[in-house]
Amino acid sequence: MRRFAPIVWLAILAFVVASCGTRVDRAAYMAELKAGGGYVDTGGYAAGDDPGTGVVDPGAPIDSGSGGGLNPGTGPSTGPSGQPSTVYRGPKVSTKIQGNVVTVGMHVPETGAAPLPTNYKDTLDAIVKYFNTEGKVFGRTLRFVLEDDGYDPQVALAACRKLAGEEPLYVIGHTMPAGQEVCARLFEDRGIPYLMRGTYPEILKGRQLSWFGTCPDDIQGRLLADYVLKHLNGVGKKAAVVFQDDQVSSRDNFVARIKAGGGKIVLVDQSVPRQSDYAATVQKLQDAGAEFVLLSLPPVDAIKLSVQAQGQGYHPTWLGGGTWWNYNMVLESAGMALDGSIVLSPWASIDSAATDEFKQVMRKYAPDITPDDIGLIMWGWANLVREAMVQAGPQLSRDSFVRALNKLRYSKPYWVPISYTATNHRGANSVAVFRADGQAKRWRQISGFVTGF
Amino acid sequence: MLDYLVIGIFTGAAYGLLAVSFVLVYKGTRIFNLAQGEIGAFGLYFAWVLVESGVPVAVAALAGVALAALTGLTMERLLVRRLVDSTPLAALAATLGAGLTLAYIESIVWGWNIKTFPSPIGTWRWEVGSLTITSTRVAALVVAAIVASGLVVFLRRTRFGLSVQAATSDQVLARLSGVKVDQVRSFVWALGGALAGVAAILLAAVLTFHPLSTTLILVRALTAAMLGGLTSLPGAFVGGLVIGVAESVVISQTGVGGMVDLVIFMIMLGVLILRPGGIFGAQEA
Repeated sequence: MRRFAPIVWLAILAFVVASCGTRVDRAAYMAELKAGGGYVDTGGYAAGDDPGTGVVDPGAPIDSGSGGGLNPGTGPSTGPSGQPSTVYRGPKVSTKIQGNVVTVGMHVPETGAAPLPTNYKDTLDAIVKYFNTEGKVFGRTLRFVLEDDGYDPQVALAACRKLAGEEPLYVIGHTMPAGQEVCARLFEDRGIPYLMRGTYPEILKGRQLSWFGTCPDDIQGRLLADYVLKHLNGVGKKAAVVFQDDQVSSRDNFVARIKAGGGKIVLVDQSVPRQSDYAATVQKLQDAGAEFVLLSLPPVDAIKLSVQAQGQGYHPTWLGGGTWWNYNMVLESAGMALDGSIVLSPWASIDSAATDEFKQVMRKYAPDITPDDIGLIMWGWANLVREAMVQAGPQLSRDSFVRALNKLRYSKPYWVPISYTATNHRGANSVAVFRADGQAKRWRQISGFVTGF
Repeated sequence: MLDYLVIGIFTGAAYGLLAVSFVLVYKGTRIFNLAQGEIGAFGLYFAWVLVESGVPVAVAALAGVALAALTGLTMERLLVRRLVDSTPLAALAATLGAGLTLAYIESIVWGWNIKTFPSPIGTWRWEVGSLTITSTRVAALVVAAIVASGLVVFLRRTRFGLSVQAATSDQVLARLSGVKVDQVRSFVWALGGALAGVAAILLAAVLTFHPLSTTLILVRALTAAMLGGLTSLPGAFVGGLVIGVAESVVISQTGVGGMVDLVIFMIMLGVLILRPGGIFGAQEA
């Protein structure tokens, strides 16, 4: 029996590894999705698509009244990138008129590699209280149902199944791309509209009921490269990328744009989720002499890597996309390790006047809670879909909600401008730019929402 | 390449320290303690709370180690004593449950957010060519080496250490010889907890921490312990160094995520097939 002991231990070890974190094979997911129906290839993403032409001066100061040069009408996303198909094979969307209480589903990570502080629920409660008091849509009240998706596709799928069982009008997802992908498939099959943060465009391909609410990663990769080249004097300088397996569109576009613009890519390195020690990765970056490093990573890993780099005396300009690690809580953990980092953002800084409306609501409905950027994200999502509900009219159903979303123009000073059509569900193509103040542990907004640099 | 070897040795020392604490408990009670990482983490969180309250880092670190020892002792009293006559699998499941319980208590009390712990011995660093050697990594290496060799001496040369070995080998015979087996077991779990606390604090000063982060590192430490045959303290320490160096070298040579885990598990499989008793398995203590 003792001879088998090592094998037993090995099996147990494998179990422990599996329980501690799930590796995501995006290619396998895509293959599964394709095989499973409801996935219609419409030609896909064209790497050369331009994000748009409406350029706002990135150096312009934030205008307290307008939110810093917002231009909601400028340059809606062009090209066929990840657009819904005109051939729809999914189930019919319900035309049943909603009752007086509208159920809204939402899944976010409360655990895993990008955990939100659990007090976001208090903020959301305040927002719902505001909507149900002053902001009723045709007399209806809202009921939010929340699920933790663990920043893990399997947990996300279970969470989304539970949400689907609540018969929501729609569901919002703000989590890892692979988690959003499995949920998008589920909700497409169930005929439930699904809004999510912008990630890789393939998630939208062939889907009629999925929308991005923030700028997709492919555009962000290009915009970050352009910012480095034009505003950080990156021409001729060395840049590197550290990425994980499900965020390749931002990596590829960043690399291509840097090379095309006269910069040098000295290292492209892949890490695994929740890598325990980044010392060797940091040494590689140091040896390569990288002056700019794109961290296409979730918050936990971006913090770990930058903190270890600080310990090893290495401090390049770290770069990140919007919704990756541009949260104040990241700076609360990393502090000076991320000082001077440049990130893009689909929302305005919580410290700017653009978020005054949110802060006023919080003062009134939750005076004990200090408004933060996580709460602002909830506010942004809630208002985006509320706007669609208003547009859907008094005969609110999933069908009328979908029709309203497909022609929605959403423009608020605190959120990236969004413009949907029936064949363009990418919505946003602009970003704000934040710079990290490691001392104050806050992101400082240094540009309004722009579509190019 | 030399840079990466040095980095690997420093990283491996931290894995080795956790592996040594794991092996100590396994040697003392024959229980495969999957809660070892979270026992150390519990002490670490306590130390972090003290530091945040203004307590000097070194004092907080010592208090954290003491709490980790107490946690190990408590677990022995509440759980392990009830598992003495149970199957190894039942004991294993119980420690896994206990570890996850500790992790979720940590998450509920302190949240999932990543935290940093200041170095208990300062933040100086040396630049050697292109390599940067930090104080925390040197500390991990030195402390791990001292602890591993100190434990070997303790177990081989002291009366109590020999009691521990006797209790491990044959409990009935040990009792007949006058060894207080229950006392020995309590001591081993408390010492194992203290060592896990030291490892968790040193690792946190280098790597940051969050609930389950030490358990994730424990997976590396377990591999190191297996390389040492699960019973050899020097073997566990050297196993940690092997894992650390392998990890560092693989990262330096490839840009492919997951390759590190593949190589580490291949090393482990190779040892299990070629030397099932581990590199140092034949030589106990």
